[in-house]
Amino acid sequence: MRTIVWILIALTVLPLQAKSDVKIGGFAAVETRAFLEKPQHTRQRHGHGPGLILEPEFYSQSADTKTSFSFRPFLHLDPHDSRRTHGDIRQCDLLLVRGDYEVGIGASKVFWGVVESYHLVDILNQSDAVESSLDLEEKLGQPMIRFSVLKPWGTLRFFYMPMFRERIFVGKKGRLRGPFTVDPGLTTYDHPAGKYHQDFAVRLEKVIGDWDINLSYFRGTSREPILTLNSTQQRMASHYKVIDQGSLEVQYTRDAWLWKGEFFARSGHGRAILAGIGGFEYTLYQIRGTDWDLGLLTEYHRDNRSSMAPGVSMEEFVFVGTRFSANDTDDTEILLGCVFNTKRASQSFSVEAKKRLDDRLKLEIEGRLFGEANGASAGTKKDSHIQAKLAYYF
Amino acid sequence: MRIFTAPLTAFMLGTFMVPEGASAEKPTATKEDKAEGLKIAKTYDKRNQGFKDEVATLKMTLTNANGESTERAMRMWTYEVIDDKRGDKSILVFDTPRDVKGTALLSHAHHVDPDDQWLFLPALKRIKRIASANKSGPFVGSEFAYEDITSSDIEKFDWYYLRTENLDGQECYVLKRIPLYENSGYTKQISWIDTKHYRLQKVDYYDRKDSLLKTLRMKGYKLYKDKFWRAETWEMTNHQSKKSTVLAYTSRELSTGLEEDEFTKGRLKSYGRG
Repeated sequence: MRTIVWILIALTVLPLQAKSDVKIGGFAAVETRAFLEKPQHTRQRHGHGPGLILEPEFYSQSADTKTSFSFRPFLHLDPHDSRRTHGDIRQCDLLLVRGDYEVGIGASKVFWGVVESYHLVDILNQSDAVESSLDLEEKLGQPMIRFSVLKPWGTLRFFYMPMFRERIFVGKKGRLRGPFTVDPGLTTYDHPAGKYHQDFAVRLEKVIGDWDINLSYFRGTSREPILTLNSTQQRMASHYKVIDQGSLEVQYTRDAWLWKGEFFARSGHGRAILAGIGGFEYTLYQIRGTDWDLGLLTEYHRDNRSSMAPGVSMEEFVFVGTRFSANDTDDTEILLGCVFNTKRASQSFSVEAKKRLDDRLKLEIEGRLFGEANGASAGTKKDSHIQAKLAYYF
Repeated sequence: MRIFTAPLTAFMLGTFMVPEGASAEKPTATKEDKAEGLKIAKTYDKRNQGFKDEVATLKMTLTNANGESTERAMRMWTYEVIDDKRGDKSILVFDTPRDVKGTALLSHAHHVDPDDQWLFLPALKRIKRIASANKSGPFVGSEFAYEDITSSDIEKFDWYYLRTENLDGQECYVLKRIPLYENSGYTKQISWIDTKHYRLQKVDYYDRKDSLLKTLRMKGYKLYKDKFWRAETWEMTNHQSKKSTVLAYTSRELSTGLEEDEFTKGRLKSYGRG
């Protein structure tokens, strides 16, 4: 079925591309990691790199920008963890803009959200928990048909997703995991249609002066699995339920202030879940007469989910961060963050830095430091690490 | 990354200083004349009205004090808004550097209120509403500050006519303008406009200590639609840091028939796909 979907997409898209110029973008990167401590779980390797990441993009857009096509395959080769060596089609879609309407067909990524430290309401794409096991920011391509109506009163978007993508996890030799690995062969679904449950979402995006407001509703397979331990095999099994989720994103922008909030109400995982995250970003421009900017961020997150629902690493946390932008020709930027898990009295620290070395070369450095931890984050407490990625852009 | 606010448009297009009708009577005052300055400012503002929209590709070359340079390529769509409160709307898309390819900025300018701006980040497929409070910071690491490429509305300044003098063989009005908006990096700007076609030829920018910071030269004027003068090259030189930025138009078309509703947040993603 999955192959058929891809072939159908290819057949739709390729003839259209034959007559226009296809350009190449994307990147190839070498990534290496260094962990500060020895692994705590059996069979884990130390996990130092280097790995290779390929994410080229083949794209084309008509001169009037009304018709565009993008194909973005992804491949990660990791020397230690066979699960971390994986491929995906991040994007393969055609977008048609006609008058007040837009139609998108194919695998794509759609982001919902306004806050920085956590992506609470973002739901259409499954997380690639191999690439980003902590922040779940990397996403798998989601096959979908998108239809949008763009009017002066706002933008109304409809999404139809014929096929579910299950979350992928690091393997037994990989770092940044709990004591047990997740076996994709044990995955089960509540709904008889399984991964072919037909998912649907609708979203209204509106701008009113300084306010940006997005209201969304999703019905479909939860992107979060309920993980249960299969005691005989000492492996975790994923179980997915169908959920209903209504969500709201709000941002108020004034002078150097951004005030942000995201909220959702969800049913399908036992008693209804209410969750919210809110905070602000304030930017100090040209500090001390330099070209440097300093952004100050604070966000508070809370989630009232019960044990019936998929576990999240933190039900309640406070994020404090600072974003430094040098505003130089290399776009040098450093983001420092600290997450305090207020319920379990644990902390983690993060640093992300990036800098362009020349027109095509970019260096990204990322570090994570885990403090004393218990509960869900205890599994990664010895996984403090620093990671460097050197990317060449095509 | 820092980006252009909307009326890069207004200023870049040269709406900047073109009085209505080249035969308008020439100022006769010899010292600082506020009434005369405002009169010239008002007429050049009107002179450029009616271009409707503009589609352009641009190349920006940034050179540091050691002479090393980097380039960025951009495409830009502009929609003219003639209104008491609102300014032009624009979408700017980066093609290079390659790591920011597809980054797109939508700006809705306002005369008095801060501009509204949204940034599309293609890697995350995310649109962020961004603050536009920053006026004097550098635009994408260049020698152009935000306010150099926005804030051309005449209401944002006090205007003074200084003199008429010859600049590189062209007779020019010399005007002084003083920013009235908050957070400007300048105490004053001196500009030269040729008296024949009312085209902006040169601007000297004076920093908060009132010393000469930068000079802008506008070169290669071409006439579009038999009515609108546009400079093909903008050269900004920073006298203090010895860095410079050259902004060159590689293509430009006016009155192409763009619609205002193409300049919305909902549409921004489709521009970033190219």
